[in-house]
Amino acid sequence: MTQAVKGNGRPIIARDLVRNFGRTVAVDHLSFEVRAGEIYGLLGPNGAGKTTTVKMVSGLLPPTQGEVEVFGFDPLNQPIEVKSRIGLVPEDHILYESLTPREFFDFIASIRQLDQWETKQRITSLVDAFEFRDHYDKPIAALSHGNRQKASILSAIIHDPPLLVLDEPFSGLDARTVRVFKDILNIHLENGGGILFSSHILEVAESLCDRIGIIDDGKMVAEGTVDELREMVKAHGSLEEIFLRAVQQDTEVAETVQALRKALAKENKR
Amino acid sequence: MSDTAGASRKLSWREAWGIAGRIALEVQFRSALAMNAGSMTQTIEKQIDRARSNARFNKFTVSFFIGMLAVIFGVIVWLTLSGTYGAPPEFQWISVAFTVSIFSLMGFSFLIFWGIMVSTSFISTNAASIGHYLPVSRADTGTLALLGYIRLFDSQMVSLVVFFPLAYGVVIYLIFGSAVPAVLGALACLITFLITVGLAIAVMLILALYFYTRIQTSGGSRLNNIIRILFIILWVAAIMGFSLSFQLLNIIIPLLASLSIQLAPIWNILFFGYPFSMGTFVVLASGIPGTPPLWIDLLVVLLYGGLAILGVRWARNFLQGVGTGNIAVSSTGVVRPVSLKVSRVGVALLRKDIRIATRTPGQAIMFFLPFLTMIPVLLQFTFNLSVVHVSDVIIFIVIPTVMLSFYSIFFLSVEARGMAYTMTLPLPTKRILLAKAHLITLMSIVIPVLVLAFALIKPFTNPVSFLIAFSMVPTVYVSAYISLVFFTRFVGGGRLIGFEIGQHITQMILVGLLGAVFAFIPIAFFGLFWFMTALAGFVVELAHFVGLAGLWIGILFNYLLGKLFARFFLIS
Repeated sequence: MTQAVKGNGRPIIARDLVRNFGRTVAVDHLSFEVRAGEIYGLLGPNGAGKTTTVKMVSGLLPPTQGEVEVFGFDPLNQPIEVKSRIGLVPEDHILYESLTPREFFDFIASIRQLDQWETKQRITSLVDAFEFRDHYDKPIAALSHGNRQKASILSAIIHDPPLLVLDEPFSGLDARTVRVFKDILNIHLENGGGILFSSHILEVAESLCDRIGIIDDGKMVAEGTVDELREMVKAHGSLEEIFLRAVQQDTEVAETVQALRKALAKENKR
Repeated sequence: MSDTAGASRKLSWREAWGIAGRIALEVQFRSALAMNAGSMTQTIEKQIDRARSNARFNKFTVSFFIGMLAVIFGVIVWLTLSGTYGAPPEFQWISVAFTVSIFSLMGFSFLIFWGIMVSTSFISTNAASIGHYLPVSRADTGTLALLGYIRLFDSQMVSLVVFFPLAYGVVIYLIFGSAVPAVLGALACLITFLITVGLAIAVMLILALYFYTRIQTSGGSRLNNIIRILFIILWVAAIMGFSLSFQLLNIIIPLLASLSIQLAPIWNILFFGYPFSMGTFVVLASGIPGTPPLWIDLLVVLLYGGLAILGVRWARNFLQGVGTGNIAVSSTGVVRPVSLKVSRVGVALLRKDIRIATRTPGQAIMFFLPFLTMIPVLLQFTFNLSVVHVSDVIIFIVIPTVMLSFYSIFFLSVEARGMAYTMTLPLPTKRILLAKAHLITLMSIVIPVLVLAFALIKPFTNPVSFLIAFSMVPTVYVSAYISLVFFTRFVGGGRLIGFEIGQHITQMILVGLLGAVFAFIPIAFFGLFWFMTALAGFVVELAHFVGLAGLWIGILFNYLLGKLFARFFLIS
């Protein structure tokens, strides 16, 4: 993680971020920061603005208002500095579908001008850890969902970036790979790296994240450790309950389930 | 849990046809989505609409083309039988048989060229599996899979089966003034083209299966790369053959007829093979005078008819098997050790673009297209010119040069959703654009190479011709680069964006035209400088050299303009 020391400042500082798509406000005055050595979870229901935030942080989408710093660099005006320090696992599999993983990783290593010997050792260990060797020479288009996700993760960590930006990274992975990947994330944190973790799978977020930001309709509705959030929203139990209380959906969900129970009850059909 | 879950019933023909239409649309949509999945601006609804309208447009244009072809071939039959097409009267039947046979072969080839990619999509998207989720019988799922496949080409197949038999029947009626030979001839044509369609369906699926298992889903080993290139070369050669035979029909048909007369009976063996047995069958049925009683030909046609039926049955079972997963369509390869090869950034970009563009025949053919356009000109010059002047060389090179200027957009589009990945890499926009311009420049080297090859066939009057041909390489480079910069500025606001052909079609055409203008500027400068010098009364040789200087001034002008645009237009 040699690039981490080159940058100055925290992995991510987002201040007052706004992103509009026409009249729709996808992200609404969002502020948060990701510190070195922590996993910051960005949680929210579908359409809350998580992916838009990830794109703005990664320099793929300019904010309408506000600013982001990645290790002190502005993703908009210094995209090369930012992109060379980020490993991004996007929600969609954005890969060169017609290339094989071998060709794809050769390409990435060449573009990032990585050391051939070191990177080969690294990618060999990762491929074996992910049990990916059998798929190394198949076109990405021919891989299953889970194997594409593995390719996406490998492409994000091949260059050992100081910041990982992960948007639903466990999607489609089997239990073994999830375990391996969690260990890789822990090693990354031990080495002083930072992680922005966006998800709507609360169990994973609860077990992984040091701090959590809950967003709804593009706004930050609660932020802190799980204990702090529990205190903040006066909820007990799991992160799921905290989350539903934070986004004010706990009552609505209870009513919906009640109505559904009535509608699906077998007695109604007779 | 519904009590009726799992019950199956027999589908009516109408229902099956309707569901098959949905399957065909699903294939078109999934193929479009695979190319466009990184779309950030198009909604799914828009993509569905676009897939539907593209399919309709393709069907219409291909049907129109087949219709036109049928009319042209009908006219050839009419000219032959009325004695104005150069065939000796006693052998008019041979000419007509060859005309019908060539149309049949062209229709067969056309279905295959056009359909192989669609067929590959049908296999890769596993659209045939849709029927298995419906509460219908196993036999119906097979029918649905086959009909869904056929509906991808329905109008093309119907055009092939209907237009030429109609045209043929009308011509025979006009020539002989009797309905019986006209109807019999048209019916024989109809049977001929039904057999052709049946055979084409089976061959298309076999080729698509081969392409999918050996090329699309197998790895990037050296052997697979060789197979892929060979496949593409064969494909291009076949398309070229198709195009050339269409252009040279007036030579081919009388030539085949004369050879048949001179080399009979050796050449008559031809009439027992496909497609010539079909032509003979049609001629026999329409009772064209002079036709020998080749009744054994009927047996041959029956044989091909049987083969076509078997082919369609096989296609039905195959598609059903693919849908249920009983037939494996992915290949297994040898697991090779993990390796990594780090190359220079420019080389990596170039290699990636070439790999992506050559993975599908539809895109790979684009590498050959500018030079395919040179072949007919080359043939025409070879037959008609005794010496080659500078002006001839300019005519020879101007089309591929201008065509290559459109390639900047092509290389942006082949990345499709991959462009979204490129945007995550620490690469300046300019670097990516330059790599694409370099690739187009590499392609343009074939222009002077072909001119040099041409010089081996015909003497050139002036060595300036070679210098002009070599000057097309930098001409292509600057025009490609300028058009890429313009596109990035006006579509992406100076940044690279996920390119979508459907979404940016107008900008694509405009920028392609702009590239063509920039490619033409040096050639125009050549003409201007040459004309001014010639007008001043200098000898032609000197005018050529001054023109060449003008051409380089044009290139320099483009180059400086490109640098200026890049400086002000591009954002890292």
